[in-house]
Amino acid sequence: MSRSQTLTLSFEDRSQRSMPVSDAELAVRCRNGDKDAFEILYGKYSRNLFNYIYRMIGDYDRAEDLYNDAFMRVITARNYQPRAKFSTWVYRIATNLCLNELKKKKCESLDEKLEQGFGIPSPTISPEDYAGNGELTEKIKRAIDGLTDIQRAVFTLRHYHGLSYQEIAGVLRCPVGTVKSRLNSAILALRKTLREELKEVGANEMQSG
Amino acid sequence: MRCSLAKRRLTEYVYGDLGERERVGIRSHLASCSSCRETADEIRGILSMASAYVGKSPPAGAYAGLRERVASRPERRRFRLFVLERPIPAYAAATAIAILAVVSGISTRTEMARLERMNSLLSDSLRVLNSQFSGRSFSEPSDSAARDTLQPHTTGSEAPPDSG
Repeated sequence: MSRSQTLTLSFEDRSQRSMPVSDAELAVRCRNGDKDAFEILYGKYSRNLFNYIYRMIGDYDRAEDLYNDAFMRVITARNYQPRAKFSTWVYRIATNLCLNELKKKKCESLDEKLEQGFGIPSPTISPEDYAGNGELTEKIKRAIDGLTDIQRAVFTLRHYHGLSYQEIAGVLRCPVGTVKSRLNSAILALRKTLREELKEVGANEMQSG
Repeated sequence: MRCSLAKRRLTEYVYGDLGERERVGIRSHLASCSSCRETADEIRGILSMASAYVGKSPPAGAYAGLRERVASRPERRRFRLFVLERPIPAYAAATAIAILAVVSGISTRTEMARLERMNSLLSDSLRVLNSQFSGRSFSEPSDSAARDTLQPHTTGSEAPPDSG
């Protein structure tokens, strides 16, 4: 009997006895070729991880690449410390990847601007995108994309992933007070950007109400 | 509560992250301050608008791709030394023992050097005392102040200064 089969069997045995298996243990089993462990981890983290990366990067194709890298790192990395929650560690891996990617992207776009000249608008959003609800969603997306990288990370982790301030501080390795002030400044920036939309939504609600 | 303080806590208030005492404080402030009430409403509006930005599912092929990547991952062979397989407490204990050995070695050397110095000093003193008792190599001091002065390195062949 091969090693992976032994691990699978022992994992099944534990599952049948309803013994809790930690995520860290699942990652180790996954590393050793346990398909069940991979499926459990995938089911648990795939959607959240992908959404987080997508909201941070704002580009679906690039988010897919980073998501694959992040997931592989979660499975293959051996530096998980049980002091932090496993999910915090997973978000930290994703955050580091995203921040590195954004830094790289900024350098590239600066190089492009230097070559092409500043002030040239990039036609990434076509007029067809501004239709119905898609228009508002696109504005919100752009407003979130307009936040600084750290503000976006804090806002996304708090608002879309429901992490506590303590957990976000663990992901970003900064004090809780800093997390709170960054969240405040993120909301302030969103208010500035979306003030007009907010008025429109309010007026529509008044009319419909 | 002042507006500046309240405005700093409004996001936490809207998210419901404040403790009971602070929540009551902010609520009573909002009841009396229209500006802060407006800001709180705006934050609520922003957060509900942001919730409309729903996430996306991972691409359809992501699961199969990842599974394949995990399965085809080359088995890492361990070329580690046996010593590196030891757990951390073993390293800590080994380091502590090494430090103790070095420190005790140094202190033993220092102690030996000190003993040697004392030994030579003692032997010098004994030699001087011995020669004083025998009265061969010491002259009578000319004045009373120099009477107690020892001259440890004078030999018997040297003539005293005022022996005549």
